[in-house]
Amino acid sequence: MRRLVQHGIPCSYVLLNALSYVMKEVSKVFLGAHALLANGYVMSRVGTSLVALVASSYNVPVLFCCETYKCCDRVQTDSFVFNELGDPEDLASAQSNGACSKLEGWRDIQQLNVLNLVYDLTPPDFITMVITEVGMIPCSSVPVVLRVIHSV
Amino acid sequence: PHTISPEVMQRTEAVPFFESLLQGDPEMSTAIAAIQTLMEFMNRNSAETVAELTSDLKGAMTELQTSDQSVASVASGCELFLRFITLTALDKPDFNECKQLLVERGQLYLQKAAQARQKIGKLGVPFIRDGATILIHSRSRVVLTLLKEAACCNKHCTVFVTESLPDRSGYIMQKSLQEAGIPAYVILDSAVGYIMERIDLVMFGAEGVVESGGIINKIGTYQMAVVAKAANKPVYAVAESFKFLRQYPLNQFEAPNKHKYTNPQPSDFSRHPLVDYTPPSYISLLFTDLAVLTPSAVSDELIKLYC
Repeated sequence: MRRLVQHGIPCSYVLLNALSYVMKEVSKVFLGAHALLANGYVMSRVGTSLVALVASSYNVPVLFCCETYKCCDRVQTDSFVFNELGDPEDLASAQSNGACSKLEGWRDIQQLNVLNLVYDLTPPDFITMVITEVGMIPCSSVPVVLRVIHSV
Repeated sequence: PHTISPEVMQRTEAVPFFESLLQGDPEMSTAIAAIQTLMEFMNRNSAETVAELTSDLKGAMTELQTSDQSVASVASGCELFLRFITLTALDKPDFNECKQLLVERGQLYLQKAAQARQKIGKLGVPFIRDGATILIHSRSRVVLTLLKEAACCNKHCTVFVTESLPDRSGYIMQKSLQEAGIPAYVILDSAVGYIMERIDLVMFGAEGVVESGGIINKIGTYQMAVVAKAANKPVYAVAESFKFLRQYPLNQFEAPNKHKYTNPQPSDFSRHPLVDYTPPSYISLLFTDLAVLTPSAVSDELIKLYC
């Protein structure tokens, strides 16, 4: 957001909880991706599929910007079967004011676990278009891109 | 071998020639007439290099897109024609040999394009069951060819056509169908929801097929597709492959203004758009002369055509 403001673009910062409130003011959603899978799903930073879900329920176009080297021929249908775990301390110590976080002593509580997933998967139903350096493609065309790239 | 006409064709003569072709043969597709105009232009052109010829052709293409005939298919047809004829080794030292090659490839493209409608007829007939009730939108010559082919295969269908304001071309379609012996009834555009429960399948032509697999067609198409989806009826779009466009509208207002309005200035809501955009999620299959495609395969075909 700092970089956008430095370039003179007016920005508003919202928490994910406020998504459904602001979505009716939004005309387009731009998201980044870590990988485009061969079945049209997009793997990206956790929270992306949430944004895409809310946007598609408000009929707002969702555009992913992604280079073609991120297309891979793996297939995955949910975020759990393959993911990465981040550091749980990032979640446990996060606080907005100077007070102690409520999760500070989580390791001492046996029944409590803190899960910090890094990636999530966005299904193709929520994706309007993927913008790559070779052009705009629908997300179902990832196998075509892979075929063209490997044939060259 | 082509005959070299004595007088050079100017850019401004392109549109009158194009319109005279269409008036002469009302069955001819607008894109085919545009390609024939470009062939004539190429034959009567006085350029001495391939680059100059290509740039003259592009100028003629821009002129053709200013006429009000079905701008989307003229644009795509011309673009694909230009790509096809130049997609060959043009490194001959003599320019006349190059031009001869371009003209030959042009003739080949024109031949393939002219046979497109017949091919679509043969591919689409298995999807129409005997005794089916079909809903179609406005006037489409490709759909007419397909329905006539079905009638020849002894499939007795009943057809409902939307009246399709503002030009009421549904009545013309009804007349053509009745002349072919197919019972056809005109319904109001607003009666599409009412009639949908009696329909077995919905079919429409397309003025343009976009990269997402959606189509640009006469206004009212999107409405019909939405109602068909709500009623679980299959929706088939019928289009020749020269209608594939390199565009990707995200919603109705993103569809280019030059297709929607005859005067391509940005409009307020006082002008009525002529076409709308039907997203791929509402279309079951597309019948094209390349093959019967799902909407997601259109992007694959476009990549093959353009790369």
